[in-house]
Amino acid sequence: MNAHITEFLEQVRPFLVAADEQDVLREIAGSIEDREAAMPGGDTDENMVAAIAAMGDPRDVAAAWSTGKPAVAVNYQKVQWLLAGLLYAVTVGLAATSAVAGSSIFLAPLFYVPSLTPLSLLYYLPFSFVFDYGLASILIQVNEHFGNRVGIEWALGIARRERDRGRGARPTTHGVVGGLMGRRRSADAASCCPVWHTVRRLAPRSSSVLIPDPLLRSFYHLVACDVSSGVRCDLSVLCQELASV
Amino acid sequence: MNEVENAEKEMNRGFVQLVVLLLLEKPMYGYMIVRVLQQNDILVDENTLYPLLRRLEEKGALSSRWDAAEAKARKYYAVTDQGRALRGSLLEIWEHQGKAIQTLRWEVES
Repeated sequence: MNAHITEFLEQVRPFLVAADEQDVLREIAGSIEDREAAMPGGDTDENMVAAIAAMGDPRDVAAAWSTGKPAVAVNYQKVQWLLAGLLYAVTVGLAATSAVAGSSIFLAPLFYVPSLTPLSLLYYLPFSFVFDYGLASILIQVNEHFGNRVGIEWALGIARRERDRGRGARPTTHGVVGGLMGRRRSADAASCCPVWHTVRRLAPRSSSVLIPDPLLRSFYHLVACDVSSGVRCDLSVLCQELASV
Repeated sequence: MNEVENAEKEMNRGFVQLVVLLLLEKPMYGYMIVRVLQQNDILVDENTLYPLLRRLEEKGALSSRWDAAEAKARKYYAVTDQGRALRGSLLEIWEHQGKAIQTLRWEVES
């Protein structure tokens, strides 16, 4: 199969929900080839690119070809599970750390884990999955509402954009989390998010380092980001600060 | 998209379904249907037509088979007995609506 078609189908596949997925992809490929063949000049690279472009956004193609009417928009099912899985992976890591360290952990603005014991960890994890699934849904809806197209490449794109900004070799935490929250530019973090602003102000004064840096870094690598500067704080300190504002 | 285009899209939804059920007495593949429709001045988006074919197939109104004999493997669709029954019902609705529009126009214009 033509490399352009293969690439296009790989962009469609993550958003395609159909029982006979392979059959659908084969038919999409066939329709592109037929469209290309009907163009003046026939089978050329330019015509193939034009035929693919005429199909439209891969996500819209997947939405049109997907079947069924589930509660979650059909073309976001896979992305929702992926995002919920990523969030849950971070939560599990934080919860395990909390159970070992016996402290609560707050990573603004998405993650809060209360002080857990190994036993309470067992019943905390199922509930936190429900929360993370809902959080994934909210993140997708907020981003779509503000015109950001949500996808697998979305999270990776945020990390890549942060890296390409040239402010260091790795993306910053506030850039990635800000991106997840729907901001387009991480530089606006403090101005658009009061909670974030408060956390930034608190960071130098917070003496509670709840997680060793290497461990924290490894958690953050799960979502392709770095926690190099002042995003940790104790929830109680944050609450005091918020109360005083 | 203006209001006329929106309305046309809405009206086409049922219309294209009926046209497809009429056309597919002879087996055709998706792009062939698009071309035949274009020749008859009926513009239909491929992302609308192909999913429609699959929905009709799921309902049993169409049957399909892959033909790999040509250079490209193509999926041919054809109308089934269930599809013919559906087509009959849709044609009745179409004719009824056509008559209703004619009557209303006649009343308004006279």
